[in-house]
Amino acid sequence: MTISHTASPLLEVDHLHTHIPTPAGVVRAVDDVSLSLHPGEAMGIVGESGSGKSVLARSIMGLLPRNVVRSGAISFDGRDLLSDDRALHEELWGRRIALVFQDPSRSLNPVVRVERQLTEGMRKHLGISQAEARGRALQLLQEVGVPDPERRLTNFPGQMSGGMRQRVMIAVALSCEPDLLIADEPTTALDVTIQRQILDLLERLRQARRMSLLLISHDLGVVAGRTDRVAVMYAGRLVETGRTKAVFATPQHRYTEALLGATPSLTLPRHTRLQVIKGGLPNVYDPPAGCRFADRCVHVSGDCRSPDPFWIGLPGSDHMHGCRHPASGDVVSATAGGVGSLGR
Amino acid sequence: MLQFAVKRFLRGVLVILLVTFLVIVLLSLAPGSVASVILGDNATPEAVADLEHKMGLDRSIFIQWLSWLASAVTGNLGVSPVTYQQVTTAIFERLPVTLEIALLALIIALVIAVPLATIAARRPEGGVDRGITGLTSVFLSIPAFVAAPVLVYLLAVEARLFPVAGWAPLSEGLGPNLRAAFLPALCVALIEVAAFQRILRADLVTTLREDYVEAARAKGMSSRYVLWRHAFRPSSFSLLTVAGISLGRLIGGTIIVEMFFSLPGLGQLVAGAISSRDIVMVQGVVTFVAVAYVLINTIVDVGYGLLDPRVRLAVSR
Repeated sequence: MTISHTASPLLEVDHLHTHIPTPAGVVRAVDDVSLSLHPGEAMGIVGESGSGKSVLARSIMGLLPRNVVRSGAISFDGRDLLSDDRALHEELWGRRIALVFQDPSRSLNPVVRVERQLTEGMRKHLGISQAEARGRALQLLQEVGVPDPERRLTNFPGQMSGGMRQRVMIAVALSCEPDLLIADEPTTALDVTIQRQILDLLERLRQARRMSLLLISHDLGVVAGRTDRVAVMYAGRLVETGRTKAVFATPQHRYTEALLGATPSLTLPRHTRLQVIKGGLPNVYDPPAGCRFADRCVHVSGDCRSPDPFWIGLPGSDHMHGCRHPASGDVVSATAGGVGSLGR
Repeated sequence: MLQFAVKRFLRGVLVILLVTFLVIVLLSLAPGSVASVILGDNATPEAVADLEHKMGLDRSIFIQWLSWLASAVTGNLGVSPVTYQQVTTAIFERLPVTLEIALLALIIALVIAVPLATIAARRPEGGVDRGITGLTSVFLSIPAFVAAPVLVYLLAVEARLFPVAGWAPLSEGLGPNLRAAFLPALCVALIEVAAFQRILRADLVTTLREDYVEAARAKGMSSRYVLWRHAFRPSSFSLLTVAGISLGRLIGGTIIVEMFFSLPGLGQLVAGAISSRDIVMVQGVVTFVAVAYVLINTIVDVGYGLLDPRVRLAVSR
């Protein structure tokens, strides 16, 4: 490991499985995922739709329907987040861990004024008066770049643009100074021009508050310049983790490589054809043995379907992946004992 | 907003005009006339025809309706040819009883239905939900003429909590007044409970799946807070509509209960007027109920705006 953290991790996810019962069978939405996040660190979680990244975020919070089963271990600042204890949720949610949702036009209550939505959490968690909470709300709105905050407090969400609503959502999330902010596709529902503003805002606020961030996106560009580390997910599993720069510069897993190849870039010559990943996600009810990407991978060979767990690190770094025929060309013969974890 | 209000108003007026005209047409189709009722069974056909001519009943229905309308808009609904009472006086004498029963029934129905709906919505399709649906089905399938004797026997005859029948006006004190009103109101309310509970439950189940409810939970707010502060209001619009319609219906239609408990309300008035072929009185009461109905529905529409800022914004645009 090149980076040594003196402090212990804020969040540790250890061999997490999240199983969602459906009429058609059990969906293994998160399948043996381990990762850790240190105080003040930003981690990106990328993957295409259906890779399990949103379920991972909700599994960490425990914000899931009652019939969903989580197993493994999740600890947050020494607390067991796998517990279904309502009191623990009420204590941590909003106060220590906050969530920014994908679509601000759906995550703000359309019939409740902005003031209430912004102050209710502060009143509950910080035990302050409405007047105090209002004062802080005005400050927060200013901080997230909402003009004329006095007037905005009296607004209903329907009276604001999408970008403004997401700024309000971020203000709500930040209102109780959480230690960890989980942003689940925070800009996907917004215009491209607004996306960048919102992402820059998140980054600035994170650094100013020394807050940890879990930034979930299908868009590699969103994660690229704004996170310290990245975890790539495919069909419920981690396929590659490491420093964001290292993973993007020298992807090891063939899926990461293909995903980067499918991303348009300004540095490529014009009219370069985008590489498309052929095929679709594997059967979610009964995923194939071995590497889940094998069916779509152009570098596939027989050992890819071996059911033995495979997880290996590049020497001298925390860059790890689960590919038997990695892009760096080294054919790996040895199997690493068991599935490792990221960033320990 | 003004345009919206004017449209609403004009539509209401149209409804009232249609109702009053239809009442005249329907009553004219029934055999016998007011004149024969006034003169009694032994009257000669000539005498009846003569009286009908004097009363203007031999004119065309449309003309009768217009002349009735002309005096109605001045607030004069005529004098009953049977009881010689001013129709408006009779209505306003009886109105407080019916209105109190209707409002009390509405309140009782909501007090029962709202908690049942919120409990059921917590786990849709769960055992509790199914149990509550079954219970309200039972309420729904018991007609007032069955509920009334059963409730009277249990709560008035056996438990002696309420009077068996009769009315105590507010002037005799709030306690006796409410005790006299409670059982009739409960009989009417039970039927409304089923509809209220199901509509609110369905809307709550939908609302509780919304992202903003999840977002409120993710803020660490308690289930109770999320339910009442975030989910209840956006789920209450259909309930408001149905409750409005119920109130309108209750004002015009508590006849059975009023008869059973011998309450001096509008239902008794109109029932008596129909059996004595008192067209003037029936016309007056029906018109009054139609106006009340239209008025309540307009209030409900305005209520949407108060409950839902999205409606307010859309209307003001």
